[in-house]
Amino acid sequence: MFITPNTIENIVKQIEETAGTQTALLFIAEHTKIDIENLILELNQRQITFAGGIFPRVIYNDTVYEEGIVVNFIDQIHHAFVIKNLDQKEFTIPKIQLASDKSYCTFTLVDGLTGNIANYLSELYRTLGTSSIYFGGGAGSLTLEQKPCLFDNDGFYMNAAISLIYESRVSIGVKHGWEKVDGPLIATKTNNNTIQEINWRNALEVYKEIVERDCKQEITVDNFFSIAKAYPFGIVKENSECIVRDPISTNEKGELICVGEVLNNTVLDILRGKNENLISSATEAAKLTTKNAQNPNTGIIIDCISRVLFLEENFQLELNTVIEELRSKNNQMEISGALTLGEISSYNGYLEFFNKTIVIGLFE
Amino acid sequence: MDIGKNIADILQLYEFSMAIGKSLDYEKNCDKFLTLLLARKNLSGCCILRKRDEHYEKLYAFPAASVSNKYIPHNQFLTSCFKNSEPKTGIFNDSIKKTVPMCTEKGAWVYFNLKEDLGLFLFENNGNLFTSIDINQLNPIIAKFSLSLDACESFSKQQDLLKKLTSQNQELKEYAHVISHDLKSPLRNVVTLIAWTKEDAGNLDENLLQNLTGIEENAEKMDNLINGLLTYSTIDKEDIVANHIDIKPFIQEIIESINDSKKEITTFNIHTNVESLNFNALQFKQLFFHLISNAIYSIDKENGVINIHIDQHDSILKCSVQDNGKGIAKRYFDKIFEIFQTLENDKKSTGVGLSIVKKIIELYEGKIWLESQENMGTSFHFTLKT
Repeated sequence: MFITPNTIENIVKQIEETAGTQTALLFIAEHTKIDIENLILELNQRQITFAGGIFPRVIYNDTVYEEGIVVNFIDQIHHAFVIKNLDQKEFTIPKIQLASDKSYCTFTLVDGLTGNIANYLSELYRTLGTSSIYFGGGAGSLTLEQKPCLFDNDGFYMNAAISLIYESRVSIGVKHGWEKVDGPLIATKTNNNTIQEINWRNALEVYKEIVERDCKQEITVDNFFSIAKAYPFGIVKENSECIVRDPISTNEKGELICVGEVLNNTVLDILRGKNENLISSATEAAKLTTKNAQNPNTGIIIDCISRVLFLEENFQLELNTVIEELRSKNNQMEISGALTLGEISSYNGYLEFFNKTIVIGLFE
Repeated sequence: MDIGKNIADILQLYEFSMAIGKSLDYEKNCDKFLTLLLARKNLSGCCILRKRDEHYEKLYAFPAASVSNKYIPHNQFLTSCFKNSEPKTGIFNDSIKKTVPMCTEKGAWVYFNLKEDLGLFLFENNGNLFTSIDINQLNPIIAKFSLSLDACESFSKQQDLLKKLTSQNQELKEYAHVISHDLKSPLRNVVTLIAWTKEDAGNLDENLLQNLTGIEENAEKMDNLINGLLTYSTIDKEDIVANHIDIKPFIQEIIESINDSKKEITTFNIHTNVESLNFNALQFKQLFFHLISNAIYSIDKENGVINIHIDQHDSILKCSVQDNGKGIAKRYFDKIFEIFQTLENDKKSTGVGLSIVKKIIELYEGKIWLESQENMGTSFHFTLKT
């Protein structure tokens, strides 16, 4: 369901009409003029169970919206929990027992600008393991200014993660299409999301040397983001595409700040994007999803906002090819999604936090 | 040959090896290395099992439920893995799933022997078999990881021992205090009752009086023995606080506190190259009290002379207590520092004093030795680290 900007009362009314006993999952585009605290109050008064996040943009069918609310409904939540203060090392994930003969999906929303996301996902995987499929993304503002961006019946949160576990057969496709320019390099000194040294040298110096040689442009403080969005890092991973890490800014010490953690001594490549590769990889992700799905009724696309910034007007092409592929499985299927700050999926192995990647889920 | 691939492989192994031994805590050490290995190799899980006589025990698993039971009965699959020191790999099939409660529906497994009775399993979910290159690359890294697990186990044992020791020390301290209190109060009653009996009874029979005096003397010895034992058992367990000590007045005070009539015929000479020092006052007093008491006690001449030397040389304190008493026979030189050892049948001596002295000196990483000539005198020398 897509709700255009409206009064809180009307928004809540529309959700209530469909919700019944289901849990509403809300993706709100960040420019939507809405008072979240008020929305929480109104939804609670109508006794609607809900959770959601604020994202740079949302997707409904073949359109990207800067304003508006995408609502999906989940039948029976097996378990839902919020982890607050994710930026602190200490947090506890509740012990959960999942039946081995059933299929589960763990839908996770995180504050995309907090620290410790990889650690949270690692702990989530430690608890649930392969008994669930994982799917989700990072909420937050495109301004990269951190503020509350996740909410549920109990409040509006920053530095948090919300996980909803429910019974569902899900088919997932994950791809990014970024290609190696240079590497391997070693991130010899890091601190959570910050790469301080590469190959035992100042990180920015090494990054500049490689990227300037390729893009034939000098990197300055002012143009860092506009150039770096085309040259992310790739963490080498066997039997799959590398994990992309997006450097979004630099500081006065010449350190590179990324979306998501980079561990000490991580082996990195520097990647480069080409429009056609990114678009074809998105189609490939969609094909992977449809190949494994049987009778999907809902499609959710979690696509990185930085792909939109890189592809610009060509992003519509990416979205169109993905939608076309998904519709080939079920023409009537409702497709929605969010443009996120980081994407979450396990894809048949260890649970990861991706950047600049498209994660598509078909739910049955 | 793909040089780029080789370099990438080597750097990947570098990353793995740098993640080993990041913590001496068993679980954290496993977490740091194994979760990285799972992430980079896109594996779905792992576990460490120890072979015991009665079953296999799960020591570590990630995800926690990847092996659901803590104990797994002996079975053909695990026996065939554990009997080899070489790695082994295969695909999960129904027979394995029936015997080993590993929560995976499909995929491959690889086994690495960590030690004779310890094995590591890695699982993957995509059905990609582990190749011999994968295994050969990982084998030395896993061997290094195995050593780090040994270090974790040793550290854990050491920590347990330390905890046990600390608790035993505390118990001993409390026990010593309780015992000393419980033994001393009836003793005090005995002494008081004898004093009252002597006062109240008027003219007592000489033999009875002698017996009562004997009881009094033995009670006093018992009291000294309890005090000595309490000091001996707690001297190295108290918190050590350094105090400022002005040497000459401090030693003088110790001499004054010694209750022995031979003090009147003895000359005391105190030599020192420092006026003051920082040391635990109680332990410093214990040291010199027992050595000077023994020296005074040994005086058998009309004019006793006791020379006390205290010299500071950098961080070492060199001290000696020398007397012109009756001397000690060589055969007692080692025995003399053992607890309850006295040189002769002395009613007053408890045989604890020199043991306390030795214990304090050892606490300060020092040494004690003696030189003596019978009928000429004895010198006790000792060092202390300050």
